[in-house]
Amino acid sequence: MNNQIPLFKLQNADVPLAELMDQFHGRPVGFEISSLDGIMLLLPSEDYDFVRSAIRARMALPTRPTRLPVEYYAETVRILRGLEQRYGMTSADFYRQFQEGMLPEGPTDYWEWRTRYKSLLTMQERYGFSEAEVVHA
Amino acid sequence: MPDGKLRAIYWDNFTALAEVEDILDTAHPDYSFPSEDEVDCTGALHAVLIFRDGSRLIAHAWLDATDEVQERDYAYIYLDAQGDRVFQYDDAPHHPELPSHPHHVHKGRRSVAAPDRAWPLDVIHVSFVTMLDRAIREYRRNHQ
Repeated sequence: MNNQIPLFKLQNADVPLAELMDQFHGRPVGFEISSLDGIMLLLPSEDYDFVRSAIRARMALPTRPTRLPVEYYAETVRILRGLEQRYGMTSADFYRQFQEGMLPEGPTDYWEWRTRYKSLLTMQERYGFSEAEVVHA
Repeated sequence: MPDGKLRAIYWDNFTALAEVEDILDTAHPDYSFPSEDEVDCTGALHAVLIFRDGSRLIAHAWLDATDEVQERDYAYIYLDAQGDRVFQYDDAPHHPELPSHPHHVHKGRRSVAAPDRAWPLDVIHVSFVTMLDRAIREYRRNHQ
């Protein structure tokens, strides 16, 4: 599905739908209708089906609460430090040794550990986070 | 910076999960699935899906969004209601002898005494959706 749907302001909600369809040829587009305090989306049918599925999923299934990026980073650091203390090695050492086959596939913690470590590196690169953020989170 | 690719993958996964809502025990205290923002921010998917028979699918995957999103450093572990492993797909580089290296699958209970035997991958590629489908097939096979 297109992630960048343009949004246009419609001053007059009486514009015929056929006219809008002719103008956009089935491309995804949104219209903000201030007089109705709403937004109308004009979507290809496959995108419409996807939006319906997404709304249904959102209503049916719980998810973990949304947090700020710095809070996700702090949580990741806390989990990694717990694993480092439990197994007596840094996350970098664990990852290197595991990827070189020097550590067994053994403990179930290992699966979370290596994913969390890659996540840490991703957030450091993406947001420029450092250890200091953990203190202030 | 995030460019929407991870959010698109998230919604593919989340809508696939909603398709099997009827066999999920979302009220179980261990049930856990991330928000869209978490996946987009952390670049990873951590989930514990509890099924109505008490079996569970544990997912850990890092989402490499460098190009087309690929799951790497992943493990999908499906356990029965007693906590015994049914299958485990992972890409630990511990079985270079397998043609699908590093991707492989472990089947059945994990042996304490013997090495944990691995088999070549038996799906085209590993993703949340394909692993959910594998778990559902196991679930339905046990509840026909």
